[in-house]
Amino acid sequence: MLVLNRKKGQSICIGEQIRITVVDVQGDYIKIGIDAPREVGVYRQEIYREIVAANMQAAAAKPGQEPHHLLDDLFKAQLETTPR
Amino acid sequence: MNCMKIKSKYLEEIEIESDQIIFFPEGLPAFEEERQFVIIPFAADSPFFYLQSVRKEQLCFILADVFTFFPHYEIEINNRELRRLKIREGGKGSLNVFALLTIPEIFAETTANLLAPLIINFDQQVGIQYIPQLSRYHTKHPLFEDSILSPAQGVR
Repeated sequence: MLVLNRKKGQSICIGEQIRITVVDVQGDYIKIGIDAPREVGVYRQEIYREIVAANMQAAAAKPGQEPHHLLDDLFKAQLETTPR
Repeated sequence: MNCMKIKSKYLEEIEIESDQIIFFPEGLPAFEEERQFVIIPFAADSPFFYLQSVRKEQLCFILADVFTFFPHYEIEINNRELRRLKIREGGKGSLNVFALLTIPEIFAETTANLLAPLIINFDQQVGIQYIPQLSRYHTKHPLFEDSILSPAQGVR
């Protein structure tokens, strides 16, 4: 990993289109500004990882041959017990 | 319009029209290489759907219509996402919001990922999985209420 020292107000350029600026530093917290083209997704890593994990779990689920009737039955049962 | 047959995880071989295919320009996190899916309802009036990969038979998610189960759900979609969904700034269009489900052995304990819903523009055949910056939702909201979970119901 490339490690650079930056002061408040200084920036790092990644290629020609992405610029990361240290906006503020308060104790453990660093406020970062990011300029990037609209096509580039910028996400907090922990949120992205959580979604990756959730997607893998959703895809791995192996319900029986015909899960649909069971889910539909539960939905109908719920409609009956909880009028909306 | 082209008709094609694809193999699916839960439905065996299904016949689809090319205008049914939804393109995910960035795929889904963890499955970025799969860009084409079809969305098939369980039944005519069902709030559940299959999200079947066109190319990969074994990749199929189960979706639920978010607002059927969570009528107060709110999501703020920024301009970048709207552009990816082929809706012009200030333009009009219709979007559908689905949640990916995780279905455990006990079906009544199924959970919905409300943190990162799928947003689909059926008119333009394009979809995204929305990744928020911050959210009050998480990836495991129970789909059914506690009353359904009682063992007396005997449903799995």
